[in-house]
Amino acid sequence: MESDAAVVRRVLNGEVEAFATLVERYFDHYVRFAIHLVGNREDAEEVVQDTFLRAYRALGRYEERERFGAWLLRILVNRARTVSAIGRRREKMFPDQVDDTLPEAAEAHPEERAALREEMARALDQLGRDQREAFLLHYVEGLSYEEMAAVTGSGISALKMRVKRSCERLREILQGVNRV
Amino acid sequence: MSDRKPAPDPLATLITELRAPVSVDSASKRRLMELVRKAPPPTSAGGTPRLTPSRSRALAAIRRMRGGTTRSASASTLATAAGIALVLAVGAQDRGGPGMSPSRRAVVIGDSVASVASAIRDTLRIVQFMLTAPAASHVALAGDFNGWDTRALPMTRESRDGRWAVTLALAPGRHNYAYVVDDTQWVRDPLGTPAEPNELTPPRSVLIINR
Repeated sequence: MESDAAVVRRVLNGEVEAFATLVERYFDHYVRFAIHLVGNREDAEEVVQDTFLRAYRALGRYEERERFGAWLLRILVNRARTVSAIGRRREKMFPDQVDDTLPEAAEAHPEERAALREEMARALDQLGRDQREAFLLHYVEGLSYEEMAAVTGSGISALKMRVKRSCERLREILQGVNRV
Repeated sequence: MSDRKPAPDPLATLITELRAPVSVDSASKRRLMELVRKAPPPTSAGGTPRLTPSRSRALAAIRRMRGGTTRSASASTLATAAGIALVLAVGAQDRGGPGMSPSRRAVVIGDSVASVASAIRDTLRIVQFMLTAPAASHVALAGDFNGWDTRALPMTRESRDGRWAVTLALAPGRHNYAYVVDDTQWVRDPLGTPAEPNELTPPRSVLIINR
């Protein structure tokens, strides 16, 4: 597979259509991340679209020593912060996230599954922005702390603390839910 | 013997749920590509600037100063030059920062040594960059003068109160720079002039050296 850096070079050499390769590689994945970050699908898609447009315009600043996905994620996180800062709503955390991609066990109890998702959405929503961001980057996107530092601009020790506390908080909330 | 399975870890379940793929309408991607086609083509303007001939000469001179001799000898030369004059102090606006004391600054402290100055047309200035970061285990200086290399200019811890410093020769002009704490945290110089915010780059400051 052609590397992201090679695709970027083609775009910079005037092959605009090559950018579609990067869109194809990252768009869906980052919509998922943005949904969890901003809390609703409409804003998430807007954020991701805006992220790609900004990335395209700034492609000349991309340096190949950095993973393209991480560079893109840095723009995305900043856009998501802006959206969150203007106080848009957090709605469905698991919209259209689809039962046909979930394990078979879910099919037997769709109502329970929906209820579980709602509880999880509420739990994630109870985290502060920084903790939610750190938790998602580490456990869902699988970023190392070094990559997270580059994406968020925060120090590694602060990020480790945010992840630790987010886990503690989520466990506390989710176990509380299960006991009811 | 019970065949009841242990309850799944709710956190692990949450992470699994969050990792589940999301389906996106391909029309969204088509719309995006339409916007991309209409957008002006990307350029490298505003990114890491290409070296101008004069800056290239300045960098070459810096490399000569740093290479071919021991670090201490080079520092000694600079220290002599540093005593000449305080030419320019960068602004004293404190913008604060997480876990850092505000006593960070970059100061031009003198003219370059004659051997360097004679090597190039532009006169170099000796600049000392300082950062107080008591908790840091490693601090480096990065800027457009070294291609934003986070390892090329390590700073030396100079005091028990955690002051880090590095001295180098720079050509007159505008220089963007930042401190890199523990290899990962980019710190703008709060006592310096903040560079124009750009979400694509880490926080930076601007140092302007007059001729």
